Amino acid sequence: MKLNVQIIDDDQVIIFLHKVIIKKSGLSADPAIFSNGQQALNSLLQNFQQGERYLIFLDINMPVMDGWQFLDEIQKLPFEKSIMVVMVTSSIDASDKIKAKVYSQVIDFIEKPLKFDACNKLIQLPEIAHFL
Amino acid sequence: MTFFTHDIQLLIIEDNPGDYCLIKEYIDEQLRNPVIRHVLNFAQAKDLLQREIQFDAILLDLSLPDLSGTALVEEMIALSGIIPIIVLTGIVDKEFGIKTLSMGVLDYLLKDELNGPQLIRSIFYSIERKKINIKLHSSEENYRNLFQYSPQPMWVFDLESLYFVHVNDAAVNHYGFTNAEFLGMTIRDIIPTNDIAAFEDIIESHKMNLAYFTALVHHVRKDGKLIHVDIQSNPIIYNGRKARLVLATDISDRMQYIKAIEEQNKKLQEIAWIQSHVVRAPLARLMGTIEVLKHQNQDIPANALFDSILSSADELDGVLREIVKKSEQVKNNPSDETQCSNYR
Repeated sequence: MKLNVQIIDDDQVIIFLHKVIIKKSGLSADPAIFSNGQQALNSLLQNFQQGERYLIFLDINMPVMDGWQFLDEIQKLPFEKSIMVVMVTSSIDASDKIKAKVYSQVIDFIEKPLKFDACNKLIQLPEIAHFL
Repeated sequence: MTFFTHDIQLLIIEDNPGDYCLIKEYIDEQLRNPVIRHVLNFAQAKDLLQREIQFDAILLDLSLPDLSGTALVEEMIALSGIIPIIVLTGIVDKEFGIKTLSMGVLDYLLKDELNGPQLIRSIFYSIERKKINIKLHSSEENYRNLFQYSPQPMWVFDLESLYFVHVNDAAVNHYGFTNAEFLGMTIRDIIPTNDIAAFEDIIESHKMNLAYFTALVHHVRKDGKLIHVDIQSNPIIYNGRKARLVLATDISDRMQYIKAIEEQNKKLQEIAWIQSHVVRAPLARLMGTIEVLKHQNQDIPANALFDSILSSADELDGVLREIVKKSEQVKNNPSDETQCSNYR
């Protein structure tokens, strides 16, 4: 059993920072990076193996395939229950937070920037803790 | 008689001395202190009426030596003003006597059937009826003035031909057509070409038969300017024909203001969106960088973090400048508010 951590974001600075924080907090030694939803979806389709779990840090506003479209796409996957999503967005629109609750994969909604405190809380969640 | 506070004053225009004596006798029998002026022909009557008008009633013989018949009646009606006229006629002119009623005469009496009580009754009846007529006329005039001098453009158009049949002064002033021009035009002539189809629909749908309807439409003035108009329309019978009375309120200014406000709202919404999304992005990066700096040890190159801070600060600066620019656009809204007010 393995936990794959992914960062989907189009902002290079954010990717750099989040990567540092995710590594340092111990969530993942080597998170995978995708600059839009389509890239991440392709990777999932090619590389998913039975028994694996995915923790995806998902931005909302992105070119090609944004966060909402990505969420809609993963509903169609046969292994959609193996995916956990943490929404990470710079938007402070309350409507986005409400919209995210509809998706069963979304386990948290974080306003950027991602902080060590937030990662530490995630690590303590039982569904994540037992992978680490 | 206590009917009058003053002694009744009568003018009798009669060339036949016998007839005059008879009439005077009847009046003297019936009334206390009547004041009677007697003239023998139209010229004398005219002279008298142009100098004095304090008569309560005029008794007029229909055949005078200098004028008679229709011409006499017309002249007398014009001269008499508010004084009621009763015509006296022989049995041979009975038909014409009846006809004079439609010309403005209050009553006609046949000399051959004349008696005292009948004559007096006719005099008082005519005086009262004339008073009521004057009141009615003045009330009609008041209503006509309410229409004619209303500050809002109003008109009446014929429901079948769609011709304007009556327009008020405000319509003439506001639309620029003269009264005569209006009366030679139909409603179609003030509707812009693009709206004719919609207008035909209104006609087709029999909406014109509704008791009342209101609509927002476009009209074209004589100078070619398009205006937004709020129409209120009621059915009326005008000179015996089905027509509609229309009240037209020019709301071009109001529409212009609404458009300006809508444009400003759009800009404000854009600013709100920028605040929420675009400003937040570099700010989040700055905060994220500081978060990492807080936990800094030697494994991260410091230059990368400084670059991140600088680029985020630059971006934030750019966004703020854009917001200031947009805010200034809201302040000096480009839509020209004076465009529509030049005809006011």
